[in-house]
Amino acid sequence: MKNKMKHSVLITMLLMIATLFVTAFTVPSVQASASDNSLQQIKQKGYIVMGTAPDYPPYEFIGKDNGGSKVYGADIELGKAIAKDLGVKLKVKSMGFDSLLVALQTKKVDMVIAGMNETPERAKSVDFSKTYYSSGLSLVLNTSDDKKIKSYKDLQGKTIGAQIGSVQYDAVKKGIKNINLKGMENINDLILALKSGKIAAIPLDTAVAQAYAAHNPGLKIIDAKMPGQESSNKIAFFKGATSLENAANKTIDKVNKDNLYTKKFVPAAAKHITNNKSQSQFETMWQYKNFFISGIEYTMIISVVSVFFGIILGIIFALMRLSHNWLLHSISVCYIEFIRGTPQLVQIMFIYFGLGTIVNVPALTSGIIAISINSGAYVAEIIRGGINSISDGQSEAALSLGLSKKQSMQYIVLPQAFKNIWPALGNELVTLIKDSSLASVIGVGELMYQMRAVQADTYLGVAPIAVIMVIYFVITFTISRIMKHLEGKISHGTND
Amino acid sequence: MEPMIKIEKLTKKFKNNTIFSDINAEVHKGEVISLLGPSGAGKSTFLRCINMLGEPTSGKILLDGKDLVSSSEKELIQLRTHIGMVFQSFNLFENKTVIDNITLAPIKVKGMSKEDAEEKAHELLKTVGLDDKANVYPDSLSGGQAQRIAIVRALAMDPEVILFDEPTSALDPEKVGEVLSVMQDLAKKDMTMIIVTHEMEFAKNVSDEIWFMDEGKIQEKQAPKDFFENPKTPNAQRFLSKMI
Repeated sequence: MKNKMKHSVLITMLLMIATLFVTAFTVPSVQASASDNSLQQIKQKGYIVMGTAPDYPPYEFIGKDNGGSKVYGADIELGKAIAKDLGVKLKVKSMGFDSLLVALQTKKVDMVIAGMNETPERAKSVDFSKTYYSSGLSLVLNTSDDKKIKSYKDLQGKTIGAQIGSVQYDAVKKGIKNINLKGMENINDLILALKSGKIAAIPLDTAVAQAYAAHNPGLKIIDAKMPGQESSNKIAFFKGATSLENAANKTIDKVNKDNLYTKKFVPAAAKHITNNKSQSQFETMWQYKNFFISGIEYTMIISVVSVFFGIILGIIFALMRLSHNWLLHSISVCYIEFIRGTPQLVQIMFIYFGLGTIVNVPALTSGIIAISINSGAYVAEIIRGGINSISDGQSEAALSLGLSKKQSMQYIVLPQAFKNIWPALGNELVTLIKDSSLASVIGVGELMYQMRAVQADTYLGVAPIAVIMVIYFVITFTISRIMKHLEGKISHGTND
Repeated sequence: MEPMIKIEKLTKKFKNNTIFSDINAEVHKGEVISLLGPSGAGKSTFLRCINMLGEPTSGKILLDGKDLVSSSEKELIQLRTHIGMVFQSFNLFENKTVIDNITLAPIKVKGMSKEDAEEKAHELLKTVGLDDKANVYPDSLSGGQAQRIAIVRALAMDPEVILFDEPTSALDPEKVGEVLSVMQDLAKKDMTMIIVTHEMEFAKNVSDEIWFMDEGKIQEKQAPKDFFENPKTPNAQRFLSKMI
């Protein structure tokens, strides 16, 4: 019997992994071979979704809008122009630069405008439009290094930082020998690292470098003087979406003819770049309070909903694992082991991008689903421990009185188990609140995401981090206190 | 008269280990049976099989002609309401007050109203002198009080028979008497009882029949007087010489 159970667990696990692979590799290729009706689809929908990574001023960045936040930038202006020519509305979806092409492949977005350059690797998975803007490669440095670094050649043997997945990263990696390259996801983090002396320089697109240098006293930009590093920004489309690409190229032709990008789009965006130099950091943070409040809202929504479903899943899978039915038992073991054995960040991305190939799930819902499923596995183990901690005599007494197994669980075992595991559940809740920050990778506007937005908008690196740190602590500390208070209430208190 | 409980060829094995085998026995209404025997003779396991808390490997247990072993989960729940059980370690529900311990099954299983169930519970609590404990939780009770309440909890379901699994073994010596006297009262009121016990004096005075169990069999069924004065088997003789 025991052997049979172990066997079936293994088989179920293998089946599950096989299904996962088959789904992951077949679905996108099926879609790619479909005939091209991309333009028609957009017109039918009445809107076009543009994906971008808004930490790249002046191309795209998050600015204040009537107390809330909104994505601005020259690329957004271009997106608007394309949408206008198509006769549809523009919707902007923000996410990490790294996730943009995946979002395109899984049709989360219709096009990507993010100061992106064409590379042979990228061209394998997506199609690119004509060039809409060209810019050079610059280096951002500390003013104190002014004399030591005059061109890219002086970077040999130094530690420098670049944005992961960017052309600048690849250019420096291939073009400079003997270099210690640190990759980071976010430009604000790079700027922080530069200011604190952890890296000597950041290779950036010239326009972007100018925007950052202008807002960070003590930083300077120089031309990298690297041959062949003229960058050409292009729009990325789903592979085979030719009709949509052609329509966009027409708009690009118009824009290029009148040099609209430099003359009109960049100045229009620059208006929204905030200048906070005259204020103290505290005042600046206060001005952005609505960002943080909105972040708290999302963090709380994710946490509350995920805790609810996490506990329900936890009870179900704990009971399944304790069940004598080998099939239910095996399913539960596989679920628990698999979820606990894979990183939550990966699970969130898999639900959003992977499940997204089959059904279109919004980012917030994906985040909640992934976090609930993750929490469910941990809660299941906590509950199982709780149930096992109740002596058999309790359920035997219930059964001897004619209660069913279900009633015995419901009225006798589970209430006592919950009392015993209450502190562990409290820990799980606190962990869940902290882990909800991972949902920022798929663009859910919770605290972590808002922190990034404030960083991008204010060019302040540390202050927003400190603010959300305090907010997280206040939330989790309050929750722990409440749990502690309730613990006193549910233990009936005859002896204490 | 038809027996209330008829046990036929009841066998319990655990892996390759036989706990007891081919036990046949009958209990009539109003009888008090004391099940005696050395430790490890399988008395408790046998008792727990009578209401299917332990599953027998083979055989039949007939309650008023209906077999518990072959009955469905649903029928079993129904049949169990007629068989009360009192455990060595009381097993009062720790998350419920005394009154809720007693009324839970009458309300949830028999569908009694809360008022009726509580009224009955209070009456029963008075008969064991513990009505003042109605609203406390079990962890504030002494062992003797807890066991008397456990008996009341079983009685609240109006069972046809009550199984006692070493009801006084976990008690301090001075508390044993209060529990035995409650059981004695029940015997006088013609409650059918099967009692696993080591209280020889009590077994002698209260039982209608002694079942002596050893080596996986019931070796003797005798009236108490005969058993204690004239045990037939060498095993019983050895057992009694040690106990008395």
